Amino acid sequence: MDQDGQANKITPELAAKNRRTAIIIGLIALAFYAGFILMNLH
Amino acid sequence: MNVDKPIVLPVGKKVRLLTTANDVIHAWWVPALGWKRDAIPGFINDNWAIINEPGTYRGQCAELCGKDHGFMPIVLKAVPEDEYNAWVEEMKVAQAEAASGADKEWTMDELKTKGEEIYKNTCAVCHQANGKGVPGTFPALDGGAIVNGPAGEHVKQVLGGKNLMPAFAGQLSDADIAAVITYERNSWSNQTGDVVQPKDVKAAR
Amino acid sequence: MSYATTHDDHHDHKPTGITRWLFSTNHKDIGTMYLIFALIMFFVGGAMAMVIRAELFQPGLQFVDPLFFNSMTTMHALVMIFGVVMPAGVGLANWQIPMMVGAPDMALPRMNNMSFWILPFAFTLLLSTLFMKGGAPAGGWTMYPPLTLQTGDALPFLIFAVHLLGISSIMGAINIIATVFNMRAPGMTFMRLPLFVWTWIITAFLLIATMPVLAGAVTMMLTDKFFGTSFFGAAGGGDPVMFQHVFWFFGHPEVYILILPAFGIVSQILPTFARKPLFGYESMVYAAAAIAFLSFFVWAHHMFTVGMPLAGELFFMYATMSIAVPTGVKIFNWMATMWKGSMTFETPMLFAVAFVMLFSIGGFTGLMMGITPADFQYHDTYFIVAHFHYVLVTGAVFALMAGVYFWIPKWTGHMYDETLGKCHFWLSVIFVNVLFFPQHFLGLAGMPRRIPDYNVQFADWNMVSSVGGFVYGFSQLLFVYIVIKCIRGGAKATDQVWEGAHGLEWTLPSPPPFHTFTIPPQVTDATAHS
Repeated sequence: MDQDGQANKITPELAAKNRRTAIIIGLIALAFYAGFILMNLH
Repeated sequence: MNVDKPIVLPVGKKVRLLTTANDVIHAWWVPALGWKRDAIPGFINDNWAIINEPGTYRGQCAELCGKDHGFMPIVLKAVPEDEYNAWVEEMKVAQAEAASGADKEWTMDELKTKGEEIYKNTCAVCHQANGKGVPGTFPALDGGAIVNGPAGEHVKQVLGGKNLMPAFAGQLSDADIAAVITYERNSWSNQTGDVVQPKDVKAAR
Repeated sequence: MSYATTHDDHHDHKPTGITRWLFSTNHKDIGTMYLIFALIMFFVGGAMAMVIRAELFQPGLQFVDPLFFNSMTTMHALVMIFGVVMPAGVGLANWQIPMMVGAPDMALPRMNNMSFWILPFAFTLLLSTLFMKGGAPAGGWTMYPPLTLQTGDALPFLIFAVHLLGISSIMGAINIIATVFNMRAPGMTFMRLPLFVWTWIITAFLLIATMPVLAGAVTMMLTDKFFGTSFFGAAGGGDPVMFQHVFWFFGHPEVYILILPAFGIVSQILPTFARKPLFGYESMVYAAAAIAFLSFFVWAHHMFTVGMPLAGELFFMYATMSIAVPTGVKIFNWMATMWKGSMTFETPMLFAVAFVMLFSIGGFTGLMMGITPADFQYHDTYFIVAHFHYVLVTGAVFALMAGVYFWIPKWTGHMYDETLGKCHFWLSVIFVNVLFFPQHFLGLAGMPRRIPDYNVQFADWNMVSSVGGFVYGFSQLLFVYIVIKCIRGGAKATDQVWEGAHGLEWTLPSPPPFHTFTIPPQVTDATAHS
């Protein structure tokens, strides 16, 4: 990596943000899954 | 491809066609009528047609319905109205005869003759004409455990179906089922000597 | 996890041996694995198609029994959709998206590894059913109950394979969304994203919304079969048609999942070889989004014959027709991009131009079937088979081929063999039409789909179609040869590769180093896609 500090670092903040994005979308997907099954329960 | 009992309809009249199914979803399609309609278990679908030209119209099942999906023909005979009325009368007589057949005692030979015919039309597609079945998929009836076991279980299986085998309670009459079971139990190497009467089937329903 | 990339001080330091691939967190390696997997599956699914076309070469039953024939049609579809087009699209996304947005890697590299490595297991489950008692699934890829519930031992394998594929796709989609939303280089605003990236974001959202629905549908099927529920069994008060509604609520967006990345690829290639910016960039983005949005309101056009109320049939007919508007915007924009351009016709461009023309044929037949009363006749005939093969083979597959020819010089650092590439193109484009065009005639003449034997009146066109199928199928081996030859050597590719190429990926060396954009590029209007 070059020395000027301009490196495209994956900072812990960015990694946490990525994880957050993943968890939120994952939960939405899970909700769709459960929702469609529950919708058909009667 | 041909069928044993074509649908007979009058020409020049608006005819309503109802479709439903017993086992899986099929689709009733005669291209010349310009539409197809799914036949779905538990549903009754309807559609209509006016046929102007007398003649024979052909079609086939259009919804994948299993291994014999490609061999499910539809034949429709459009006839002038008076001919149609005569056909209806004829059918009424035949139906009355069939109904009386349910009460009488049949002999072994009568049952076997009728049973062979039904077996060929209904059972042989899977269990084969020689009763050997298809190893791994369709069990052999020749020497089969249920066919040579108690007759009651045999009747139950034909009426109710099992796994791939559809239930025939809604498709065959008591006399038909009695005949085909008697035929199966006394054909090929099966020699149970059992005679199943229509009333036995009626009792098992 | 992702910190690893920052610790890596040497540009081309990479792990070696089998672990490089097994434990890979590198978007380029994972992209390569996706693409190789898709290519292998292309031939597995292709072999099944050859069985189908061989059986249909002549009327009568020649080679296979009807149950196996049904297994072939079912498995061919599942393999081609979930094993070829989707993984190939994800493979291209893996390779290109980080390079296109100026990110060092995907946002979640370890999840990326997982979403790839699920695939071989899912397909082992699925393909193992071919050797099971009762045969492989034979109820069609649409898995309609009650027929599919009659599947033998294979049913739970089918269902779990679908679950795994769904999980894999959802993880891939999450990764793409996180990468594009969080990892863009400075100055890479959304409206500067290359169109391939845009179509993939939209695709990713479709995946998130629909794959769980499919998983839900097959889960209900599983409980119906093994746990005594009656979601879809009429005898227990269930509704067999409800499965079709749920399935197609997944299924229709799914077809846009297959085609939107293809739109993106073509939108990259046409401007490059026409040496003009993409015409109507913004309208292209909005059109793709509109197609995706509308795709949620048209599902029942797959089931016009189940017997719906008239109002429902009318609604789904008009909703379906309305999709032609944004699709038309895209097609006209592509034509306008080429209009008065200085065009050259290298292999990727040939495939892209063929895509525009042949996909339009598939689009038009789609409109024909969107008309409810006309669909009463077309439904479940060879007409629909011709339609979806035009949009999926000459559409999606041609675009994927175009994408590989377009970017393989960047990936390998070598130019592919242009002469052989052109041979591959002409063989493909001629024989794919010999294969699928006659199927329109068969369908209109009344041949139902999914039948192993047919009336003799259909014999001639079936034979023509089979001949086209065999030549098209075998000519794809040429593609494998071209790819291998290109990996092993060839003329050195420049960094820009194509004279008219614009965008961040073309500023990198060919082949790009193992880790790219460890220093973020600054993107301005001048250096953006167009």
